[in-house]
Amino acid sequence: MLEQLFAISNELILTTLAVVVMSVNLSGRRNSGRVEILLTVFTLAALSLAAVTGFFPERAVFGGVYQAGPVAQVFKCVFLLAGLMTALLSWRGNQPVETLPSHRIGEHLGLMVLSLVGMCFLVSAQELVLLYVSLELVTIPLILLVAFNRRELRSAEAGMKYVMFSALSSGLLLYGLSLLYGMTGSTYLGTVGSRLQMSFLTVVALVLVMGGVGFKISAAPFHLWTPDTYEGAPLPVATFLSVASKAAGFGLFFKLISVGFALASEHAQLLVVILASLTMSIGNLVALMQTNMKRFLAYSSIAQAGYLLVGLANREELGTASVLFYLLVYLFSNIAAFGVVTLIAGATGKEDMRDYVGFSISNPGLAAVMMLAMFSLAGIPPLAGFLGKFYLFAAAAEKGLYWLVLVGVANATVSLYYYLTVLRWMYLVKAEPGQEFPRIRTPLAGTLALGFCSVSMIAIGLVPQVIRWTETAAKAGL
Amino acid sequence: MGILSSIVLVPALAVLVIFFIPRERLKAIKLVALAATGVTVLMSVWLTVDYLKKAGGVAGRSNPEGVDLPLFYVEKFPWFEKLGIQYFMGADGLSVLMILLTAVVIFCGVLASWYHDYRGKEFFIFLLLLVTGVFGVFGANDLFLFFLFYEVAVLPMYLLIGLWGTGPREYSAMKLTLMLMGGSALILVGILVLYFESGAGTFSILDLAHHKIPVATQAWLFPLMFFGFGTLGGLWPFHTWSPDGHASAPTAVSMLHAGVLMKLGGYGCLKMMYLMPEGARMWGTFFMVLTTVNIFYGALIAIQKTDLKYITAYSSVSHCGLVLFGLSTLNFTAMQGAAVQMYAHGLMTALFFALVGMIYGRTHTRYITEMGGLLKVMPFLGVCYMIGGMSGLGLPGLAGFIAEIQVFVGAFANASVGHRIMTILAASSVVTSAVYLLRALTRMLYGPMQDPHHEHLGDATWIERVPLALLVFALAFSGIFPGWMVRLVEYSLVPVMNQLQAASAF
Repeated sequence: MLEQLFAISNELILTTLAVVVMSVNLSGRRNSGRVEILLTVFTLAALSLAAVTGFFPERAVFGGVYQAGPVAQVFKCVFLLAGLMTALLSWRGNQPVETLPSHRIGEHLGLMVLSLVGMCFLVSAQELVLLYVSLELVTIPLILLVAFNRRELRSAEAGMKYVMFSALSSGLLLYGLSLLYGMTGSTYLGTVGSRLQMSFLTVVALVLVMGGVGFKISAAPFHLWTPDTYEGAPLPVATFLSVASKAAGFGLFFKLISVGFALASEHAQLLVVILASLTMSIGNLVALMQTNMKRFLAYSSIAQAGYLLVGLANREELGTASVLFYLLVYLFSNIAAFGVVTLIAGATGKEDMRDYVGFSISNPGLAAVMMLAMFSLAGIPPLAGFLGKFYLFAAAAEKGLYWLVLVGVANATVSLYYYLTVLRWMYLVKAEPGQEFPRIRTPLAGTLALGFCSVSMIAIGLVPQVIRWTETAAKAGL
Repeated sequence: MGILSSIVLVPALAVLVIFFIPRERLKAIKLVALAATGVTVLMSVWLTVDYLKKAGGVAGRSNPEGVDLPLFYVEKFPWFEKLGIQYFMGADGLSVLMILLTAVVIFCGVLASWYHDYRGKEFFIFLLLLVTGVFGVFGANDLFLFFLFYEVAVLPMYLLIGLWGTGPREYSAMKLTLMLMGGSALILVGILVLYFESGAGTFSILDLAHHKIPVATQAWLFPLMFFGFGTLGGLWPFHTWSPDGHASAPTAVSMLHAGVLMKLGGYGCLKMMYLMPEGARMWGTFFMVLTTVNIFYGALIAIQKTDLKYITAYSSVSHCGLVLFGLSTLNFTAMQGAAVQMYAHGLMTALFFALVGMIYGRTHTRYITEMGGLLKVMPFLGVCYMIGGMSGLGLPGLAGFIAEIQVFVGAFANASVGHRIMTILAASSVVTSAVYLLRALTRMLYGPMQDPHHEHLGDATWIERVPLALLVFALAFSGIFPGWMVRLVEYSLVPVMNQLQAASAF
């Protein structure tokens, strides 16, 4: 029993953390949320370190329902780091505009950590029911988080949209999973994978599952909720959604097609390729027209999901390694971008990129971070995004999917336009006299988060060996 | 650390140093930039002399049989093992020549932007970052590394043009960046195809050359890559970024971009011919047609422009077309001429853009119709402009002559009628060049003053005279003593030629 508990100690610690943070929040009277944030940050940092070093042993427990392999550890690390950064960005600085009600920060963190628990279970689950239950555990706290500023109409609307789409996607997924069970008579993923025969029903199940997961990773044509939800959600929540929740979707996707549909790999690849091309193209083309930074980043994150799908088209070692690599890269780049937007919105309430005129003169540091993030997302060296994209495309090219690579690089070129547009407003357009951008005072926590992301973007780009363990993990398999 | 890495590192270090200098101390920032680029000039001169010595001297010929590029100063260690990417630096003759060109041009560029004060700190940071990339490109022998450095060079370009440019700067910056990135997107796909189709498991150019790339693949990959690199080199019809971009860019950036970065197109195309000789044979004539249009079209447009920067930019398109034209003839002499043209045109264009920048800084107009009689008030600038123009016309005694004569002689050597007609067409561009260059000269320097304010304009200051004199000296020196540079490019071209000959036997 103890052995089994030790195997899931990562999740147990997280659950405890959620309870503690929420209780602390209730106990304090005039609460600024600092204790809660510090608690969360330190615990998550320790746990992600444990995930990197493989501190918790890999063991099949509870009758083989739960087993966290090396790939799952990398996914966990991505989730935990995303949670950590989000916690740092929730720090209430000297902000006139509140992105989150400060007396409820503990509640916000607690819900986020609960969602993290779900994610960690999700990537470790080896059985369909646990898989589904943990997915619900991921989603339900997120719904609450999206609607966290409940008095704000936008936030409530975003929450409602998120509920509807999550319910629909869960339904699709559940339908697909039940078909799998019906065909194979087992809920264990491994058994499902080995027993699944190629038939019409298998394809139906595959499509349903992909539809369900497609919502989670906001792949086109299932992406419609993304921009509205990001726009309405409080910024730290949008940050978390765009990275952790998306990574969780990819964990699920990866697990299902690499284990569950192992024998239907050709059909799965075809569907992934179609999804990838659609997602990249639609995300990029619509992003061209956005001026609201949240919507803009939402569409950009849709496009980024498309690139990740390109890597998933290769189900072998290179594909897995490239997806894991890019998830980490995407984590740092996207959080840096969201971080700057959060700080700007917190200090001035500005969310439209056309209001960023003169930003680079009064805030050269923050502007530089934004520039790094944009270039990394666009895939320009020497930043991590370049190598990450190259890696993904190489994975697809290994399978001979040269045309998909061509679609990918064409999209990367298109995406450069809108990433540069942000820089255009920040750097090129000259502010009229009297319209200068105010100087933003960054809280220490925000500086830490942004600094860590920037250093990581540059370090991974120059010395990719620093995340060599993702490679090792991909080699060792799920 | 090898000499090549050091050359790349010097400007990168200067960026770091400037980063910590407060923005008010512009003088210090400029001095650091000047010192760094000065050091790279010395290093690259040493590199040239030493390479010639190592490769067998001015008279010798190295490696007449083999297909290996004569690489020296090799540094090689794995960088990203999973994909077999190496940090593989090494210089063959052509890259030595290009590194020398880069160093000279950027040194002159820093001096030419000496009076550049608006947001000076960022300007020099981005400029030096750009140069870091350019040096890296010419030293890299791993396709991935090559590509990486190239994109590093494109990154600061957007901001340099967009922030410090003139005219429709935002539009031009975006157009230039997107078109160059579009070109490099094709290259990226091509690199991956080369990697997987050759089965070499490495991006090293030397190793890839020893692996046969299937002819069926070459048949579609070669044009893809040639268009990709051609876009960077101003290949018609993908040249349109060049006139807008170069006309809007600040002086130093125009100098560096038109002078050096555009040569990357030819440089890359040559590498592709080296790797895919069969493809080159198949598509040579096709690209010869396109580049003939390039040469002719660029010159024609230059004739009807009155904006000095546009004239220079279109003449760049025309002259860079000559580089690609020489390469696509697949004739040794013509290819040699093309390679020399990269160097000669780099110096010449840098000189032109420096002059245009200085003249514009005085007259505040770039239209030749609004100028006149300037030789009276700025004799030094005027004479330099004339010398540059003469090189553009291919006058003997200047570097341009060595290049053009070789290209045309080599291209004409092919007995096929089509080739000869195209060569004659291309050669007639010398006449068209004379029209636009001489017209600009006459309008600008002679005749009555168009604007009474121009009476009181001063000539070049001493700081401005240094880069101009250096560039003029380099043009004349290479024109009078062309032996060393012809040798340098020969070392690089012999293996390419051997590859091409082996391919035709197939």
